[in-house]
Amino acid sequence: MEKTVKRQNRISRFNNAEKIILVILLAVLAAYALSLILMFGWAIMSSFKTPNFYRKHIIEFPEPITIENYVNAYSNFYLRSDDVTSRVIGFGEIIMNTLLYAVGCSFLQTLSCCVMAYATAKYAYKLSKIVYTTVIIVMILPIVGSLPSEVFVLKRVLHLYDTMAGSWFMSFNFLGMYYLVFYEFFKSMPKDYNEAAEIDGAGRYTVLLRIVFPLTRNMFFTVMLLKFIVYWNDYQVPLVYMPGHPTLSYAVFRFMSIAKDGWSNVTQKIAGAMLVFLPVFVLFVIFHNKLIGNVTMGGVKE
Amino acid sequence: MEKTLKKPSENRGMANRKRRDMAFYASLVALPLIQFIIMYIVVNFNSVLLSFQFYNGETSNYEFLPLNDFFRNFARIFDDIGRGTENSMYLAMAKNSLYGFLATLVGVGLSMIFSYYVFKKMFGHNFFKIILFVPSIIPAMVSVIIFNYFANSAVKDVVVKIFHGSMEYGLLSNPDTKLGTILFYNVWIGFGTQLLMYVGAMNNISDSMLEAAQIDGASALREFVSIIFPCVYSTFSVFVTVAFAQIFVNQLSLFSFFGTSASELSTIGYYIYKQVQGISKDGEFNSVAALGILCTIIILPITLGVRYLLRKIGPSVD
Repeated sequence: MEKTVKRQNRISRFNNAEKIILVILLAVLAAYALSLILMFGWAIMSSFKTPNFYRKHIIEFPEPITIENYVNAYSNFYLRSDDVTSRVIGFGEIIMNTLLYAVGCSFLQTLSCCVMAYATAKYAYKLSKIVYTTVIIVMILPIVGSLPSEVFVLKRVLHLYDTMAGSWFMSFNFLGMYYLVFYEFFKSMPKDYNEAAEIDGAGRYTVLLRIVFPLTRNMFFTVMLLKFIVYWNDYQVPLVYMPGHPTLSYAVFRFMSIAKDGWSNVTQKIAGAMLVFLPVFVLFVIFHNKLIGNVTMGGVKE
Repeated sequence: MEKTLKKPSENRGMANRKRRDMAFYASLVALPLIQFIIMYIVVNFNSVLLSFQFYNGETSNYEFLPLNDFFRNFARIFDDIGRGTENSMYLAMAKNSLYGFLATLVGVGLSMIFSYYVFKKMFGHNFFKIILFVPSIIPAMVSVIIFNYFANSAVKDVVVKIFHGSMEYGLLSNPDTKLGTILFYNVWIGFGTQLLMYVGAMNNISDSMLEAAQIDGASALREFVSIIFPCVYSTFSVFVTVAFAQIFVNQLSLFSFFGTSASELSTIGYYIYKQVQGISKDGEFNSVAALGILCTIIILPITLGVRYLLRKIGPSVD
C-alpha cells in the first residue's frame, strides 16, 4: 500500500511536458533493450543453424536445429603459433593461459590498489599525499602512444616480453579509479579496530591480515571480479605483449581475422563466440547484485 | 621528577614505534611504487627518447638521430600534415578521432539521463539497469562478431524480406554507413560503468534534500536541474575530462572489427596500436613514439583547460 502511495506521489510530480519526455525516454530504453535482446536472440538462433541453411535463411528459425557448430567450434579451438615451429596450441593450453592471465592479473591489480590505498590512507606521510595526488593527475593526464615504449621496456630492460610474468608485472598497478575506492573505504574505517588489536599485542602485519583484509573482503572480491571480467575479455594486451600465450579472447580474434586458424564459417564463429561468453555470463548471473550494486566512489554499499 | 625520568625511555619508545611504522609502510608501498616507476615514469621518459632515435639494423640498437636531423621523426608527421586535409593521413585520422570523441560525449550525456531514470525507480528500472550493464561484461570480440554479422547480414535481410525494401550492402560494408555504424556501436556498448558511477553518485544525495524539494512542489525537471545535476557534476566532469584525454587514444573498436585493415576509418589510437602490434621484432617504434608525443603535447593543455573550465563554470552544490 505504502509502495503504491509512493509511486503515485512520484508520478504526480511530472507535469504534462515531462510526462512526454518520460515516455520518450522509456521508448528509447525499450528500443535499446530490444536491440540487445534481438541481436543476441538472433545470434543464439544462428548458432543452431547448419551453414547451408544460414546462407539462405539468415533471419529465419533454424531447421533442422543442430549443435554441430558448438561441437566443431570446440574441436577446432586451436591456434598455430606465429614462430617458425608453427606448433599447435590446443584448447587446454588456451584455457590455462586465460585462467593464469585473468586470475593472476585481476588479483595482483586489486592487491596493489588495496595495499597502496591502505598505506596511504592510514599513514599521513608526505609520500602518501604525493601518491594520492599522482593517482588523480594520472587519471586526467593524457599520455598518447606509450605503447611502443612499454614493449621496448618489457623486451630490452625487463626481459619479460611474451611471458606471463610480464603481464602480471604490468597489472600490478595501483593507478586508477579502484585505488580511490579503496582509499575512501580505509579513510572511513574507524581507528578503534586497529588500536584495540594493537593494545592486545597484535603487530602491524597481524592487524592487516587478521582485521583489515577480512573487513575489505567484500569490496576486494567485487573489484577483483570486475577486473577478472576485463582481463578475461581482453585480447589486445595478450596480442601485443604475450603473443606466444594466447588467451580465449585472443584466439577468437585470430579466428575472426586469420583464415588459417580455427573456425571456418559464420555459424561456427557465432557458436564459438557464445562458448567464450558463457563463463562470464554464468559469473554475471551468480554475482550480478555484487557487480551492479557494490562499488561507488565513496566505497562499498552493503 | 618522575616525568623527567620517564622521558628518555618514552622518547625511545616513540622513536622505535615510528621506525617500525616507517618500515611497515615502506614494505607495503615498495613494490607498487617500483612498478609505477618502471611502467609509468621510465616508460614515458623512454617514449620521449624513442621519438628522437632511430633503429640501427646493423647494430640492432636504438641510436640518437644526428643533430642536423634530430627532429626527423616529427618532420615526417609535419610533412604529412602539410599535404592538407584531403591528402594527409594523420589529419584524416584526427578527424575520425574527433568523431569518436563526439560519440563518447553523447554516451556520457545519455548515461546520465538513463541513470536518473534508474535512480528515480521508474517503470522497469531494475531490468534496464541490468540490460544497460550487460554489454560491459561481454568480451569485445564476442560482441563484435555478433554485431558484425547482425549489422551486415541480418539487418539487410530484415529490410529486404520483412520490409520489402532494397539494400545492396550491409551497414558495415557500405562506405556511407560504415562510420555511423561504428560510432553507434561504441555508444551502444558503453553505458555500463558510467551508469554505475552516476547511480552511485545519485544514491549519495540526501533523502531530506529531495523530500524538501518535493514538499516545495519542484517538478522532476527542476529537481534534475537544481539538485541531481549539481550533485553528480563532479562525476560528470570526470567523464568529460577523461573523454578529452582519450581523444587520441580511442580506437573505436576498429581493431576488433577490421584487424589491420580499417583504412579510411582509422583513428590515431587505432593507428598507434596497429603499428606496434605489427612490429614483431625490434622494429620502427620511433615514428609511432613521436606521433604519441605530438598528440600528448596537443591534448595535454586542452584537457587541463577543459578541467579548469568545468571547475570554474560548474553548478554549486550549495
